[in-house]
Amino acid sequence: MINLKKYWGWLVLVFTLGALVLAFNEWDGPLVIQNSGQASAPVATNAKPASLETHSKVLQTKKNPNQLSTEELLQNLINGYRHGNKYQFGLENTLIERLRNEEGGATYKVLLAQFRQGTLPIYAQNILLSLLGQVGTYQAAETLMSLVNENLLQDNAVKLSAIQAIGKFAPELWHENPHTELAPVFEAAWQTQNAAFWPAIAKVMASISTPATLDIFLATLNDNSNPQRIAAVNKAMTSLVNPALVPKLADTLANATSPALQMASGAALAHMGELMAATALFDWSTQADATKTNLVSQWIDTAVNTTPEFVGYLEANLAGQKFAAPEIKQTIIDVLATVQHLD
Amino acid sequence: MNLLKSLPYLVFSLVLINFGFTHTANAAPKPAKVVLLLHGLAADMGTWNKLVNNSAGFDGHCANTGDVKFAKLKLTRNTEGVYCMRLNFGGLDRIPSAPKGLDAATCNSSGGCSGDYSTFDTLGREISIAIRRIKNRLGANTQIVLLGHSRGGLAARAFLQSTYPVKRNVAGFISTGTPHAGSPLGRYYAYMRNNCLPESKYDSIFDFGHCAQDWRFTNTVVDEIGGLYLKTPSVNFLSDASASIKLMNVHINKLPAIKFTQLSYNNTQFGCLGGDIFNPDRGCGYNIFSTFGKPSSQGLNAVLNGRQRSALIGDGIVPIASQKMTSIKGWKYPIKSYARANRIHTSEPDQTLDLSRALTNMYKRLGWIA
Repeated sequence: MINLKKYWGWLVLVFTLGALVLAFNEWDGPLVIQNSGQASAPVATNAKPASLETHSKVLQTKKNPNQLSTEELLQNLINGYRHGNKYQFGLENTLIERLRNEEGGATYKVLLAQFRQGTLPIYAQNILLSLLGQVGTYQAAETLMSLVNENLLQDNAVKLSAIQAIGKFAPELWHENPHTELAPVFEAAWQTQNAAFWPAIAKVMASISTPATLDIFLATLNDNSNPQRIAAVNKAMTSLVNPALVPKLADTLANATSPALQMASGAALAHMGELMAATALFDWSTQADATKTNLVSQWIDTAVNTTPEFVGYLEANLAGQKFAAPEIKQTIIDVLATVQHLD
Repeated sequence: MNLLKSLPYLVFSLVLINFGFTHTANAAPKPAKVVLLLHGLAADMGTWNKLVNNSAGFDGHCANTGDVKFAKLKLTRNTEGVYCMRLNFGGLDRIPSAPKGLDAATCNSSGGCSGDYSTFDTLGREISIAIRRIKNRLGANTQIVLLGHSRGGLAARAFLQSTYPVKRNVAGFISTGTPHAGSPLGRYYAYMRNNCLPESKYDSIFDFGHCAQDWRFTNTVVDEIGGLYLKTPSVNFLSDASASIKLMNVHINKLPAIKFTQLSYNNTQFGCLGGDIFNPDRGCGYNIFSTFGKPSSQGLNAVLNGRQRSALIGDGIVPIASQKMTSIKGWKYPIKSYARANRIHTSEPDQTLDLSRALTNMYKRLGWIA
């Protein structure tokens, strides 16, 4: 019989070594990163990850940021900026995480008030604007667009920061989450008279791609009164991603009341990267007259590049398809031949 | 009693058995396969959205390696069994030692400035961090293909030519539109630094001198070309006169023997930074040699450096020869090349057909698919 009292030390050693072995085997397991955000009701967010952990290790406040209220966090951050401290990564990251997880209405009011005072250093304005983009929520978008609408962003570098922050609201994975809750903010912001922001606003609207956005774009083109707005819309139309917009775009292409509408809707279908959009273009081309040959060539070329599966569709359907203009069919055959020989 | 005396040996035997068993268990599953997407200057990981969203690419799934919840993110493979991962460069743009731009410009953006205030080596370090995270998540023997657009390709090379142990996980590298030998446009930075600082000296609207014109161009091209800010130090590093690029090319022999692919785009005049209104992928809608608000003749001459514009044809920013790794002196590995025409530089990540073909070809060469 083994005397447990005499050999308890050995048993402890066995268990300890066993535990060490198990720990070692788990060494390559997932890296656990603490989330400092407070638990609260989830809010609509297009939140992007804050930054590398290298940043979050650097805490610039004497008090633990987790012990501060969200408003205090912002106030401390701004105080730091006013004292020339550009590197407050710990506070920034904590604030971002907080604002992603709570409404933060009072905090956004503080931020707006600081911009309205007009005394923030330029770099502080830049960082705060980018921070709104990192937060990515409806409230952050609303605050950012308030700053734009109130003409509070005058410096070139600050405008650039705001433009880049607007871009951060574009959904990264549209099919997983198109962030349609953000669309009303930017659709309203589109009315701003500050032309410098039109391209960025139009692009983020296109990247969310609601039917209401398409209506606004088409109305702008139809209205045809402001060349800068039209240029922004034309560019943004090629960033539309929502396949549900294809029927309306196809209808506009076929029944456009102006060349601008036809050009923009055709370009949108060609660039969408959806087979449904590419085939809508193909269907239209079967009825197009010979004057549209160059247009068809360009659009089909774009469509096969954005939509590789369209190559297979053309290989299967082109030969047997009747066209109103033989020139159009020939130009599609030519485009197809070009991409078939890429390898 | 004898059994107890031999307990230490028994313990160590158990330890060895345990190690051996678990290693066998880890080795049994096939290694995970990952494509890591690397964006370029003044861009972010959204630059790859068309490829990511397309069924020929990654079926709408691509994880951000910098996500604080990366360890727990749901990961989905594409139909070819490959995971897509991507990162936003710039995590080290704001460290105090980060290089400064013109007029001592620094990155003042939470989350970084796309890597535009980082050296190539720093960008390589960011890739090593991303790969460490991928390995932690998917296993130590995960195989990775790096796909870099523009400067993303140089970041990949800086990483691959380094001594980071995790580079052993990289099985293939694809570059598209990468300025392996730099871009003449990058010379604009040195011209401005040597002739037109500080900016405040030339910001009068009544100043019609060349520096005032060049600063106006610098500040307007930002709006026109998706945030391209010529004040950032990365523009200087990307110059075809850049010491950083020359040094990287001197050490080309440090590249590991992996599979290589290069995509290059030709036939676009140098200086065409933006495409046509209805087709932003091609044409020359924003031409720095003719657009209103263009740089001064001094600025353009500095960029051309005695060369004819016609000698720099490529994708509008990177001449065709510079887009090819095979043009680097000392290149020694087999490579798959794809050459296309009439696409401007910024549209290259949107060329889903080209990219998906290059990826499929890479998967085959690596034995990832039959």
